[in-house]
Amino acid sequence: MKQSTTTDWVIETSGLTKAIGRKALVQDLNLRVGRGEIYGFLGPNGAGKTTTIRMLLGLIRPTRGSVKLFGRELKSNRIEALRRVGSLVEYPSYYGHLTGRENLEAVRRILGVPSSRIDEVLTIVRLTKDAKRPVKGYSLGMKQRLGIATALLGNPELLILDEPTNGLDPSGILEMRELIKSMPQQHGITIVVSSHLLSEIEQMATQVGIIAQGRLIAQESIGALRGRSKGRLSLRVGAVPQATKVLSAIGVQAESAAAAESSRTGAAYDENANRILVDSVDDEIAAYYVRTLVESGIEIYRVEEVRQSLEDLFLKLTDGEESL
Amino acid sequence: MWAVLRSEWIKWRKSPILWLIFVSPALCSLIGLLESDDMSSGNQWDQLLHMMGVMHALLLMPLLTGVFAASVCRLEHAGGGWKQLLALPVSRGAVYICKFVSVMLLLLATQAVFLAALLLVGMVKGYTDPIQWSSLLFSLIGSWIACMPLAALQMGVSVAWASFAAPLAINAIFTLPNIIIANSERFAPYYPWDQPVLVMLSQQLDDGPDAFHLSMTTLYTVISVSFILFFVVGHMYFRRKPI
Repeated sequence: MKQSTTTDWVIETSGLTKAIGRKALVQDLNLRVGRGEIYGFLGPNGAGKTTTIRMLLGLIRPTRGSVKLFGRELKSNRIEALRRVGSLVEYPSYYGHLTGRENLEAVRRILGVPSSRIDEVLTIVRLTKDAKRPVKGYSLGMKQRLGIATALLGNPELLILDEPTNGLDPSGILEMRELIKSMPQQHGITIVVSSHLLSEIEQMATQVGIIAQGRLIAQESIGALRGRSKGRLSLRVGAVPQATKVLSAIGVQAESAAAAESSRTGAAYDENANRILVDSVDDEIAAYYVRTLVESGIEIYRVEEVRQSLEDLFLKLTDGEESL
Repeated sequence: MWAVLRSEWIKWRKSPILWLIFVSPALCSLIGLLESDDMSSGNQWDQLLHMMGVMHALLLMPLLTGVFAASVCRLEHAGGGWKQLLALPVSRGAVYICKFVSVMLLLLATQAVFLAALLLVGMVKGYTDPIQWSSLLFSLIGSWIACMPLAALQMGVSVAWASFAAPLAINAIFTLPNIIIANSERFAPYYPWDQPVLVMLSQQLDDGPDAFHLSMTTLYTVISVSFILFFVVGHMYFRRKPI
């Protein structure tokens, strides 16, 4: 992990815990969000993402631990800190009987930013055309965009978006993703975006924190996370035991795919029969493996690269947590 | 604080709540117009205030107080507004105070419309007596102030309860026995739903032969103390409430 002084983190929590009765919803969270990052806060539903975000915004009080925003305790600097934060929690908030513009105006009066800012944010989320209609007639996607516009109204340095693509259709999701990705570049904003969908986080985040059952089980750059899910080489051969023996003779650890599968899921599948897995290697070395096997009289039917997807890693990380 | 209040105004400016300020004056005007004047002595305006004021202060003001309190909270409950509002750079205390002030301003507007309605009814009936402004204004402003404990109580209930109907139902249940309790000199001053009518009609009652024999000092003390109590408890609760 990057070594640095506390003031470099836009968000820093220490031992952040929220418990209701004896049940810990969030436990010992040590989040570190660096400036200019898009921090993907990933976890299954009910893992504690929203609870954490509510604590970050001071909407609920932590049972234990502390939250620092911009290097200062949230507890003693809440109003000052929130002036630099825009947020969208869980589902968009709105006043249905007011138009989009009036909704923004209600918030603008509290933030004290110039009226022209309303036009700016409406343009950013492309709601200018619908700004004069009552919000109760908006689609969920439009309400979501209005929520983003509200979050952007105060020119925040930190944007906290909780499940911003929830309930959007595919084109809405794509649009939201492009919008989020453009912010740090165009406006220098740090973004925390939560989701239960890995694919989504993978496509926009630069930094990932994975939460499961209230605990942070991984926190690293998206690159590092991808590195952890390295590929393997799969060989379908005539005889597994001999092939394993031949390979171990040249110092290569090979594993029967069926055994690997059954150790993971408790079941073996036909397609894994006759397959062995070795760590992924360069072309020349792969060719050397094949040559050795063929020269030892073992038939080779297929050679494939199997990438363990981030999905697998995510499942492995979260399942592992569940079985603890 | 001012900014929050201006933001509140945007929200209820176009809300149907605003029309409620005309309900009570309209109903009471009807009573004032239909009921025949008592020919006995006394200022005509005072009599009219009594006729119209009983309905207004005994029944409609307490109900409206509950409706206004529930409505300013419903604005936030309905669309998930609390979490957006309280994640803005405002203190929760200021938000609570502004919500309360909104309720009181709506009630004040109601009183103003009521005054206009009263004057209109008097003119229609062709009153010739001079208007006793001091007693008229005392009744209207006094009963408005007497709504404060109830408003504070209803604010607390409405903030705590996401439902719109529940605080209203409670308010209605406690408003209905008003007439009975108003006759009890022991309990009436302590009953927040009765305080507006007691203050509004205090002058007439004090003059009358069988007034409630209330000590006005007791009434004012109870109103002040209970307002502070209800308001502080609600305020404290709201500042700690998980959103």
